[in-house]
Amino acid sequence: MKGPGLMLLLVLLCLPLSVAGEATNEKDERWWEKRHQRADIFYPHKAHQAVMEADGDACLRCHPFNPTDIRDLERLRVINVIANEPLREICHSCHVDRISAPWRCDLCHDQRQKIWPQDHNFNYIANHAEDSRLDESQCRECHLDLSFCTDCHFRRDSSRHRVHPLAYVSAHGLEARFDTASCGRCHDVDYCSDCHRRRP
Amino acid sequence: MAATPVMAQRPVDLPPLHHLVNVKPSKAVNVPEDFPLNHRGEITCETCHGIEDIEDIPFEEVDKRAPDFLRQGPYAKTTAFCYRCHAEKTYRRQNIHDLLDARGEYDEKACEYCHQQAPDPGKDHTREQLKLRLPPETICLGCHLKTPHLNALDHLVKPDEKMRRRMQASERRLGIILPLDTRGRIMCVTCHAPHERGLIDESKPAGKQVADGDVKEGVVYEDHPWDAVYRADKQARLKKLPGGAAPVALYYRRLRSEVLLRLSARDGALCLACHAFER
Repeated sequence: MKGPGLMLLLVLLCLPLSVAGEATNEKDERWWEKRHQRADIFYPHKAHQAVMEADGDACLRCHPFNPTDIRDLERLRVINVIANEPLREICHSCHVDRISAPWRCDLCHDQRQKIWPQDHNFNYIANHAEDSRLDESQCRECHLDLSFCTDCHFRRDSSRHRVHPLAYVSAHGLEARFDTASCGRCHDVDYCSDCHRRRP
Repeated sequence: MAATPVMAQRPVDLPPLHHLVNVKPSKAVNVPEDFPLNHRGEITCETCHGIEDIEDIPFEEVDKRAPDFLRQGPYAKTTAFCYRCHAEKTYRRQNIHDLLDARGEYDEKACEYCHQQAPDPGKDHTREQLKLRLPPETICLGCHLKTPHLNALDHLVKPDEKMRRRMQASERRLGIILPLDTRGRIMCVTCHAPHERGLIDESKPAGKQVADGDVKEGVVYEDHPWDAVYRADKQARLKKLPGGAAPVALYYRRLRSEVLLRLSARDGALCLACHAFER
């Protein structure tokens, strides 16, 4: 009697745990309740509401209610999720192609490293010139504003591209002697001489 | 009654419920020119199937997902293939939501598909007085699938208290009803108005619905340039599923007109009667 009694006690003790586990899984499956927690792509519904209403298919644009004859409910559940997933082209039609909406990548994407090409991960500044000459349209898929180029190539007073730490001016001489070419990736020769000519 | 086509002398081992072969199509059937008939003008395997020598391949080994398994496929619905030859109109069932005739009179027989006795549309009724043949949550299922459109499945649930309060507020504010089933769950008629516009007076909450659609025409969609890229994206996702993408087709269309909805889904009013966004 001791054995079965102990077993029963164990089963009774484990029961609330397994029930809680099922409830958690069920809750997890209600993915739409967590849409605001999805950090990789942020979609503020409220901010889009007025524009979508005016443009038509306010909610149906991303949440289709098209007819279906799928009767396998488990399969249908998965297909609903796929049907509801955001589609780059739908977002980009306003935010990138037409630029009728704000087009800063970080408005929707939390980390630019997730969306930029892999070759951007290491010292891409050394190769960007060749790529941009070969196919500038590739760059423009993300860099919609030409100031992204001109801020480096033609301006020195921009605060957008801070690649050196503060007070780098004191240390730059040493590094420039070690690897002068590295300065040349961003700066042309006038950038040096403009100052050095004044203070020889 | 038309004579039943007789099988020809050469027996063909067909799976159950298969279309007849070795019969001449009747005059009512319009076989496309590029669907080949045999020299006697009869339907053969090649008429419908584009797979070479399909009759020599064992049934289990036939690739039923091949695009040309049914000629010029794939087809989202098998019936779409049937209607390549057969006139769709002649197979259409009566639309029982089409309740009013040209004079605005309603057909009591159509009402009695769902009601034991046609209720007076001018009067207010309790749910019991409507004398529905089946509970409201199952009555639609005699003709419609339980999930006849995407995202229907996720809606057939019991809304939480917060959403129920929002729904009640929408009912008061918009002068509509958003009825739940006896167990408090969302059902088809929570969003869909089953009666043709004009049958129940629009001043009544049960009679208010979208105005732009024609119940005879049904929901009308229009093509959209995003369709190609949408299909490609979704097919790539579907292919990763166990069982692959076939025969599911997710496509992108826009609503041109909607019908039998308590509020417009096109501008999102129907969705926002229940849903709210924090951000």
